[in-house]
Amino acid sequence: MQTLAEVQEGTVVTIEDLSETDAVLRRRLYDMGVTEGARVRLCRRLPFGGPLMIECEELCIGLRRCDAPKIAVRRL
Amino acid sequence: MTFALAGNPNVGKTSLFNALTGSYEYVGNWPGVTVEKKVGRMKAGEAAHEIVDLPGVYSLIPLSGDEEVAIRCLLHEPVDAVLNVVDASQLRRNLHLTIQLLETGLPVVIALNMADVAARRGLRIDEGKLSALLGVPAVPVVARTGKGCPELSARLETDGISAPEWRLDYGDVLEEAIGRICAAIPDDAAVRYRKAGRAVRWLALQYLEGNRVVRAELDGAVGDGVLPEIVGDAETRLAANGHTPEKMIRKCRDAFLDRLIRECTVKDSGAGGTSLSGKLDRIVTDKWLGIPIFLLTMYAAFMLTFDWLGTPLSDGLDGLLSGPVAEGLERWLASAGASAFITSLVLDGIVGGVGGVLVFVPQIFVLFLVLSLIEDSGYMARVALVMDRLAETIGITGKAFIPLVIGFGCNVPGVMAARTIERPKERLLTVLITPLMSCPARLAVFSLFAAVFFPNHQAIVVLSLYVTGIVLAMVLAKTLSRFLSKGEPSTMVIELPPYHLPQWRSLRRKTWEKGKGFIVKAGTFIFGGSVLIWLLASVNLSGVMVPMEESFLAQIGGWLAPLLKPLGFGNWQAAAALVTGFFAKEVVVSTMNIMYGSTGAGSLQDALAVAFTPVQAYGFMTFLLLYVPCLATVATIRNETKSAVWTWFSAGYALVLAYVIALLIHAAGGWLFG
Repeated sequence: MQTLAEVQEGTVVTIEDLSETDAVLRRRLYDMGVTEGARVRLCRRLPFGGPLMIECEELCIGLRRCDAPKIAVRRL
Repeated sequence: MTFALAGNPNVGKTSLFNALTGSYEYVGNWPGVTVEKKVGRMKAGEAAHEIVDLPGVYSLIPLSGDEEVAIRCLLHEPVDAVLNVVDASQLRRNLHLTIQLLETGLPVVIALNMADVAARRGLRIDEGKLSALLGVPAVPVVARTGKGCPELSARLETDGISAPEWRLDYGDVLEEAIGRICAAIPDDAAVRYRKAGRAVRWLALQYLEGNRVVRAELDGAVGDGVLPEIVGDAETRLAANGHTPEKMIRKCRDAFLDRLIRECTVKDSGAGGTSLSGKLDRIVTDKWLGIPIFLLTMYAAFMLTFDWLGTPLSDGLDGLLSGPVAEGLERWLASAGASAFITSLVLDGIVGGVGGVLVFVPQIFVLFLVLSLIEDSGYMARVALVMDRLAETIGITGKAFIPLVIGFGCNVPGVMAARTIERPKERLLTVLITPLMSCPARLAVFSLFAAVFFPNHQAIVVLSLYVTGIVLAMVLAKTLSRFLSKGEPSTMVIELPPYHLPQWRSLRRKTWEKGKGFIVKAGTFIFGGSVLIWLLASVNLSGVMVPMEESFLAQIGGWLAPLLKPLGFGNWQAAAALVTGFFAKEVVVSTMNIMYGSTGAGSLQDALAVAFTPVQAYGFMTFLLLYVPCLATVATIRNETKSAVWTWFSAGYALVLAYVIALLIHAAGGWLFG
């Protein structure tokens, strides 16, 4: 099992499991359409351990890097 | 009828609100522009309809303060129907909210916005089919231009709007739980909800999904432990399949939407490719360029305000006001035979006080124009993203930078913008540090002093004050977050809207709307304040038109001046100006004008150059930047924190901070130049 933290920029993955993430974050991700089974592309990582930019169904979302290891994904 | 305007963040609710009501509420291109509900009347048609513009929500489960405003309105306020704005280019995500709105039991009308954006992405929507599948009318609109609004108004006019006969099945376990919750709600409460048009089933669903507002309310009505037990049962039964109620509800809605989207959309192949937004994002969030671009943007904003555009305009206006206008008034007063008292009141009090502030209007408009540009383009959300790494190290969310940037325009909306932050502690922290962002009112004072004492380095000196505010805000956040958010994790998730090419029409309007407030304030508050200050500066117990050194104002300033002595500017004028500055910081300029301008010994600038040294002037500016937020901001902080303690704290720490920093500047100045 891979996490979002290990994914290369530009890769498309499916979200496998969000249960490890913090409840508020998970709720927000659900709201934005990032749910188990959703397809997500990692657009880029900002420098110096900055946030990640992901794209999910045409929606661009900013996310903290420290939350990425808690998001389990599978490569397509 | 009263319509609640509901929808996801940044889908164009306020644009539609403005188009329908003909009013002008603030719109922007970042999620969270509207943080409180606003009421307007619809302009067309015979029947009077009210429209309530709500803050954007992703679902009816509130996480942040602005979302709670929206949920409470849907729960309690007398709303007859919901006008649901749906972003056609983000159909699935938007329809999740639509489902919840349909479940409220209220009649729903869908306004399908941004169909043009969807078409550009190769997505066509059959709104007839959408309408049929959801059982409610769906009208395509382009909110930004107002296209489709007449049709929508006509739709709202017809009284054929009825509550939808729509219901989604959530599976045996949840349906049983819903039934038990509905049965547990006492009859009188249930009747009350039904009378208001709200479905009890909706409340039960929200309860199961974990809506804390609904949970608090139903638990209060039903009594301890009954409903949590029902939820507990459902949780245990669902856990066997690895589900939670929340997840199960989501899954059922997703399955329904899958079917719906398949049936009512057509995807054109061929469209797509890397969008312009994507390319721009690659640049502004670049590894090396991201933060420099942010700083350059801010620097350019300053240079535009001070060097390139704002200052020349302000100087021109100053020449006009202190020259032809003042001279004309003087001649007119003389020819009308006005007394010395009236002449002094008009020329020294009103022209000096109000005119002194009006001079800065061009600079302030330039600043507002730049801020509007940042807001409209979609860069605002990127600021939050780019600054998040820094924010993380000081223990706040990158989203806090949105209120901070808005705070540069005015601290009041800045403090209110903190509502979009999810965590209560981070929200409080942001409210507390936002007043350290320098606003145009303070800018007026800085401009005056910088022009006198640092004529060749105005932009840099003023920039340094802004930076001082930002740095102190960061230091304070770091210190406070250690005590405040102990154990509470910090969160940052933000939607990054696509870039829009800002339209001149919208920029002009926004700049005017923001700047107008400043002019109105000059005409009312500052006008009255100037008259009052002039009176205080001209009277004492023994009579009117006394020498200013013996006036009430000098006495008030004289009491406080010794306290400011250690800071280097211990004259009564500085003390008196700072006292009046609490009401609105630009009043300091008016006060200075009245005090120094009416001595007859040349202009205010000359008088200031005598009264202060450059180091003292810098210390004074820093003190003014930091000491106690203005009255309006303090009132807003009270309102947002709902706590007298935190309000006092925000005023108190600011005063202490101002004192300490000004003391340091005085000491450093003495050491460097002494």
